[in-house]
Amino acid sequence: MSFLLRCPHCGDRSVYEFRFGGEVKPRPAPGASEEEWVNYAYNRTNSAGVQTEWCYHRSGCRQWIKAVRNTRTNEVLETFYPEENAR
Amino acid sequence: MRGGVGLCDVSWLAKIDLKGFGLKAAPSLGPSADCWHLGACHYLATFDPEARGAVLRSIQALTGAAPELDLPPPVYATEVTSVYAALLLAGPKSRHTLRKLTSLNVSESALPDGACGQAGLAHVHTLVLRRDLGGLPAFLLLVGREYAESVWEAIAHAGQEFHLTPFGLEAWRLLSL
Amino acid sequence: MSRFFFDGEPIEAQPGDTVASALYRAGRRIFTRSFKYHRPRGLLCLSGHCPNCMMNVDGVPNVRACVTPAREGMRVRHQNAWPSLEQDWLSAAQHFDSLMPVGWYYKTLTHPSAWHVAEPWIRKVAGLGDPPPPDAPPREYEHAFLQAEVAVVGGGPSGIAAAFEAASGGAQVILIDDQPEPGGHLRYTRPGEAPASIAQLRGQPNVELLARAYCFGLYEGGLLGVLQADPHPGAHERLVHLRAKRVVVATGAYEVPLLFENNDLPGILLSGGARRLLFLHRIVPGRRCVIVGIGARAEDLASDLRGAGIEIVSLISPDEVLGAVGSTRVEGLRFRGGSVTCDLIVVCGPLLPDAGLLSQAGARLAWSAAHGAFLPADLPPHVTAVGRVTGSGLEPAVPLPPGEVRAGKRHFVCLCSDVTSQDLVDGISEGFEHIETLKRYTTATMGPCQGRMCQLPAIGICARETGRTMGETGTTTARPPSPSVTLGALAGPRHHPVRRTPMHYQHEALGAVWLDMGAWKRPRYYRTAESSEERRCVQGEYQAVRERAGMIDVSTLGKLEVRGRDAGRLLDKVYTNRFSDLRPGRVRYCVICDDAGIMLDDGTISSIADDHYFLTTTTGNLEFVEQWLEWWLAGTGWDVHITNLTGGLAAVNLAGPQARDVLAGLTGLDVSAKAFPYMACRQALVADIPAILLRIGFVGETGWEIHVPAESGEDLWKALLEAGKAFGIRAFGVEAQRLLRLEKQHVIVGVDTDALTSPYEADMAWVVKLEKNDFIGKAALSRAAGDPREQLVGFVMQEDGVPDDGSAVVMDGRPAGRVTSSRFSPREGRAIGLAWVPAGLAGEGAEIRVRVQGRPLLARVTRRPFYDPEGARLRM
Repeated sequence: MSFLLRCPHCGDRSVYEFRFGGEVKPRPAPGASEEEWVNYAYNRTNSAGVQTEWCYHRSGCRQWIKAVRNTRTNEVLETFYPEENAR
Repeated sequence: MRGGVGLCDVSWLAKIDLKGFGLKAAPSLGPSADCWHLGACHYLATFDPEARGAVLRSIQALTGAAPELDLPPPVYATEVTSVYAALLLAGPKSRHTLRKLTSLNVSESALPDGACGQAGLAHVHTLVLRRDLGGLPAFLLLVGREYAESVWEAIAHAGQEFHLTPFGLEAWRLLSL
Repeated sequence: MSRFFFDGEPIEAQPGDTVASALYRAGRRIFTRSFKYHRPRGLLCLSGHCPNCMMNVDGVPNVRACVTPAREGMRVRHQNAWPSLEQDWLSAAQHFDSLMPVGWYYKTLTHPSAWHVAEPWIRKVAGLGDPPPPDAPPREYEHAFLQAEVAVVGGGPSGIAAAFEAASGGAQVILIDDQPEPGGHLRYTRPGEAPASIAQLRGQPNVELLARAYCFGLYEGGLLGVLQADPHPGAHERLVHLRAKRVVVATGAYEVPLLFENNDLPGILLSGGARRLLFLHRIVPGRRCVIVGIGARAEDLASDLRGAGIEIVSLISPDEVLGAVGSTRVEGLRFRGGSVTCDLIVVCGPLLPDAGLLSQAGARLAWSAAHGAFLPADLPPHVTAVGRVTGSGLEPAVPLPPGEVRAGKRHFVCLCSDVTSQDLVDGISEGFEHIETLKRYTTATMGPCQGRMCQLPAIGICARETGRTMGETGTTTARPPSPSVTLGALAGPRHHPVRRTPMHYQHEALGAVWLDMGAWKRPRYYRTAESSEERRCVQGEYQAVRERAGMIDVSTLGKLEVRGRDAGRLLDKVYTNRFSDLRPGRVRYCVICDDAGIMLDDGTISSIADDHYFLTTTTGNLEFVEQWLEWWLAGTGWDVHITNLTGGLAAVNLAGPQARDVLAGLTGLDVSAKAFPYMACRQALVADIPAILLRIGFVGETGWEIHVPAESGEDLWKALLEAGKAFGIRAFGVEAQRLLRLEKQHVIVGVDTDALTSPYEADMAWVVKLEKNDFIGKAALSRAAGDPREQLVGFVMQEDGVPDDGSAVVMDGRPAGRVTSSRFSPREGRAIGLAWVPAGLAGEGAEIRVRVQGRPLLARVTRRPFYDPEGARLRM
């Protein structure tokens, strides 16, 4: 595995420069049911296909970005800074 | 060193970290300071300690925003002179030495004079700041202070192939003229 | 001219000689013995593909002598033969080949104890070569990272042309060639005709040539792995990570042997091997030669060999050949219709595209009968292939699949593993009909040549025996690295980052015995004039802290500055207790949990101002905490900015009943208990150095954590030692600190807690403020507030014995829990510690058993700290 990710600040870098932060999923609201919380804490969708995920550029600018990647081919379609108020 | 590559400890250079939503564009800090773009709304100022007064005044103008006067979002300045050790790698073979240590693209087109990049160098997170010296290609390498000795050894080892020589303040002053 | 040594004997080498060519010139014909049967083997390919010339060079095993330049003083030894290459006793194995059919481990060693008896002997004789002895001088390996717009692999005529074309178009090009000089096959087919294009190429400024470099892998994202030999006098090998936007593969074609009886005898050369000997090394390989081949290729070869003075006895078509004759070297050839004597057999073997890199890149391999080879197809967009690797100019040498399969025990298909055509036929008849399973069962293609010499004939036999076409049979999967790479080259320079605190050399001077904590060096304890023994030294340090004063370097703590209008809001969100109400000048202990309620880290947070906090984290967790805070901040738009100050501040923890007296002598700040209470923070000059002082207590005594700029760390340390002399101050290390905190039952996250620990189980319910608004872990923690199933408790041993960290707590003879930390306490006179126990055994005074060196010893649960349970000494 040695594909390239385009960091919005640093440019194309090897995937090993990043720490994988998991798939992007919404955090339940404070009053949500136990089932929703368990699902959030322990379950993953784990798509075979396009997914949006968190990446931390630990060897570079040390910022969190989001990446849209096809998990079958490792083709990275898009990378961007997290949008404001979009958690 | 003119024929090969030299290494100089310039950790005494003053460094100030600037962060804040008021930094969506590069701040101007006057002619005495270099300003390096490290990330979105994140800059690092480096300067000779003798210019401290002038540089601090420029920074004061940025950070002295008063919210009640509806001025631009605040900027936070943090003294980081002690946080980073700074090693100056200079000479015609400085790029050849660097590419034995880091996967960062330090070619002329990818990292021209005045540009910066961050990457692992000898397995240590490093800020690579290109600032040519006396017509020679030169790179300021900033690492966490605790790594300084270890990274110096790694650079000296990689530079053996090019007869790397340590140099001091006198030589640095001569080259800067 | 130079001289090297082979098995202790001096050998002359001419300029340009390889180890193999110099040995051949000196008369050597047997170069190694084969893997299984120890058959004599001689030079065959002269190109680094076959396994016949592997020797030990300067302590490095399995070196291909035919591509290794001879150097003055080299020490070369033979491999895999005892006592000598000429007389190898293990060649007697050939007489027992009926006991070693294909898959013989599974057939012969069927008795339950047979393997245990046989294994030690098999291990002794197995393998090729010996590893370097432990005292061998270390070899220098380097890494390098290059970038190119176009990478061309292969410096033969097509590669040179492709590099030139790309460079003329303005691209920045790197050309990789494995020979000392570019030119490829022209070097030994048209010697002296150095193409004009090579000179042109050298003149181009945007072309970089990597010579004596082979590309062993083509990976995702245009990454090429390249191994360069002897890059400069100070290094043996350089591993190049090369990122290219476009890759041109021009690796050409290589030649493989033909299949007939005794086709592995010394004196049988491939046509390319014979030409390399003649034209690269100016060595005549024999006097009477039989050429096995047909058509123009055989005619051209005959003409080249005659030109060197070799008598061509006969040109024979491959399907006429029955077998070579000879015991340790070729003496003749038998064919349909007769036999001839000769001392040299040169075969025109099939030429196959060296397409491994293209397969790795994802290309398909499709059989072409017209070329007699599998050709690469369906290349990915950034990869192109040029020259003979595409099949251009290649013709079949023998029909494939073969008309009939001659199954024989001396017809060698796989030279590396001594796999014969008989073995392959037997394997297929036993049911291993798929090429991948046949490979694994017979081990054909699994040796050092990685299938280069044997894959094609193996596929041919498999196709014929199973009645399929070559295309239907298919190839096995090509994987990197191919050719192989030294582990040392992958590891690179022997440099590991080391993190030193600003007081590192002070500790050296004080006799520190070092401990590695990640990359950090920390004093474990200090040797004294009286003793170097750990237990005594640690006890002395411990006593100093409890009775007088001690000082420990805690510069390794993670330190973060958190500033901004929303700083308090972020800290309230991320930590389990409240911080937005922390007044400037106060410190609070803090814990991070995740949304499953698991403890991730702890530390302290001090308030400098309403929008300015100073955080400390455990030594190993700083990077994690910084990432965690940034992640929760990402996308919120909150005005919070985090800066890592770790290396910029030196920190000392000064602790003990007389710590105040020591500190008072160095600062004008009022450090009385009233002015500077427990859990307060102040800024002041200490020994004329601007400092942040935190009054906290990890070790259970009155104490301060003093932070100063790193460049003043040494000055602070020396000032404290000097001021403390009158009070008998001692520097103490990590071991003493561990014991001191254990007496207070202070938890270390990651040592006493694990990936399943919530604050409730670690007896820290007080740190969880459920009445806060949403924070990370609130949902899980509010549900878990009931009685946990397991509890972290303190214990004191009732019998002599110190449990190791990690020892089991046993109940009814079965493991029921685990000791996390344990040390001998001078105060108790017994070992104390922390352990996980089932809730039922967590009551004060409960009796538990701890396994110490196999014996279940009695211990008693103690829920309150062993030392100063009220915490009075902390607050003095």
